Amino acid sequence: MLDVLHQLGGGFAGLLQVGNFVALLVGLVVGMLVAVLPGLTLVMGVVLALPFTYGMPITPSIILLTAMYISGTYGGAITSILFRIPGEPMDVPLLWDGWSMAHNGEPARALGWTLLAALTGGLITATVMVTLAVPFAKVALTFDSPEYFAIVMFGFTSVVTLGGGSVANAFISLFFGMLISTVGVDEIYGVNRFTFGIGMLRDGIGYLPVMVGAYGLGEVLVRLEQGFASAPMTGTVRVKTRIPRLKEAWSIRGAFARSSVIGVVCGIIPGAGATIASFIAYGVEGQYGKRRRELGRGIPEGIVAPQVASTASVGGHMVPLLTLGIPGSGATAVILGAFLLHGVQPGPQIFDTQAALVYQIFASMFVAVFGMGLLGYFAIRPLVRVLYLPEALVSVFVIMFCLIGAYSEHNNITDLWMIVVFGVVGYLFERYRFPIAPMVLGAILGPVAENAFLTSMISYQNDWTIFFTRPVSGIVLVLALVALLFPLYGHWRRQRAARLVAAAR
Amino acid sequence: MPQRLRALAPYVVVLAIAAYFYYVASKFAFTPRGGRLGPDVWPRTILVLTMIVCVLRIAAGLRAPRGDAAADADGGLIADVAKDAGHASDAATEAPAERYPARLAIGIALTVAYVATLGVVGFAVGTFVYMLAMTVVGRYRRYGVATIVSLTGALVLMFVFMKVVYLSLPIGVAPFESVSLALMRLMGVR
Repeated sequence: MLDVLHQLGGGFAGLLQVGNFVALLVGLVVGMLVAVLPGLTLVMGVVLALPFTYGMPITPSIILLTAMYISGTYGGAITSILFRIPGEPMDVPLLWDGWSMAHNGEPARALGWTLLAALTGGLITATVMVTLAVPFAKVALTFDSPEYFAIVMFGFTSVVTLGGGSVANAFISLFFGMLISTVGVDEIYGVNRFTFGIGMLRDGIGYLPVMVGAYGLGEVLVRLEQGFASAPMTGTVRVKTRIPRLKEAWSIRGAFARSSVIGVVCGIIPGAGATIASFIAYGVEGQYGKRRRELGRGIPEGIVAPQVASTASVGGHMVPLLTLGIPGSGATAVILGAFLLHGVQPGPQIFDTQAALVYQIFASMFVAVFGMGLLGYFAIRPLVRVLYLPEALVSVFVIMFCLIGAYSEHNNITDLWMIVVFGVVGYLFERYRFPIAPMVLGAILGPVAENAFLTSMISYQNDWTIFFTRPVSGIVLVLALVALLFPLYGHWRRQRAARLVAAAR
Repeated sequence: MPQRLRALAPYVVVLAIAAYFYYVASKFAFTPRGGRLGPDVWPRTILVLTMIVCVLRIAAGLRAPRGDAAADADGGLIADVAKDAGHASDAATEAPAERYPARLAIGIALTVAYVATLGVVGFAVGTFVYMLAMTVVGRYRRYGVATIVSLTGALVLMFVFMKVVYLSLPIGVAPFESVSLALMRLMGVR
């Protein structure tokens, strides 16, 4: 532990370098802006920032993206509370108690609770990340390909079953993403897979064009079809924050504790993200909270639970990214992309090979949490002003960043076609209610899954039972199975209840 | 087309595409190496699973009573929390009141045209025209502001990416090339 603290101290010292500190500040401001801006999501923002990191050293690049990620989990809360416009899907539960509290004449108090929740969630997640990462990496060193395969399968089932909506559509989306990752020349046999004689497909389709196209251009196309019709700006324009007293906060410590655990755990599970964490935390508060009957009427617990959980999920996501090289969310996938573009492969060995970098990232998260708090407190007025920017103008810049981002990876115009294709695919997915997240996760983790599967088959003489007979992979696969059966059970329960109601009439 | 068939049409299309891709995967030409699985196994597994999901979804849709749209198990977690909180509509993706398919088609066509002509007209000219056109298609009616923002935006993006990020953006061919080169000289880009 002393060694960890010593290294963390070095990380804080490294953060004082001008480049790193500027990257942190820019990341915090831009992260909040994208969370507030209409038509832009946090993942889109992180994706669009990626091309700017090409010319930067690796440390400020990762610090920039991580700071965006953490402050983005807070920015959208402001618009949810003040204007009833959730900046991000994770901010929807804040409409119920946050908006209600603001509507009841206490917007400053609602903003104060949100700020305190984000600060608490952020500090807890940063602490957990520093504490868990090294032991996690040590355990990960013992993992073999069956364990990696099982973890990825668990991620796949989580993203399909926890995301909401049609499970069939989520599966199709996931399989489509996995199929995309098989396109190109096979590494072992040198066989062209699904290239159809098109030269640019021989190198395969990276997950970044899939993400940039589907999340960026696809979302703009959806909004364009809707004529960029914005939600009406209902709500208060009095923008002030009143931080709750310590005694008030202590009285709902249970909500803070429960939501922190939920956020960190949801972060560690690949596929479950800030949105899932936010909804689960609100749901748990509704089930087990002391004042569960008052939830939805503007009580602090209803604000604290989703906000703590969504911010706490960030550190949870960073743990598998750094220690296993497995990104569990769209934003961490982009951060992985930044690592790889700079020639660093995250994984269990990263604490030996790139310790200084890792601890500077850790240190930056602590500072980012406080920076986010200060920014949220003092810069809230100009932040909400960006809501008045015309969406058509913002969207055209989003498209430009998407296209330049794709172009800049190889300086090749043909890469732009990928963005256009996946932009249209993203639009079609949104239009026909196929979720995009499973496709993106399939494209990101598909090669990891295939590689782990084939390596296991080679190592264990094509014995597929190895995935179930090894303790860690066996347990994780059972958990995946449980995650898979969970919605089917829920569906059966709902159908049974509907039948009983119909029979009773 | 009856509502039920229209709802199942995407799954029929996906099923057909997956079947075609399965056929393509089964034709991968390779020489098996000592007990190793071939490059077709993984994609074929994915495609079989896709087809199973489609068949199950189609069967569930056909079996469901007329008018029952919820023939599919849903993840439900987010919807359940929203429903319990009494705000089901907040978590649902509701269809917008109005759609503008013509604007969408024009937007896609403009994007395709921009990518197709970027190498010819160069980044500066192409981006200015594209940004202006897209802003107008996006129902922004203050044309003066749109023109200034598009022009400034194209130039700022060019400056940032060529001068700061050192990205080599397309300069186009004559006569557009001379415009790009003149702008680069003005910006001090070599």
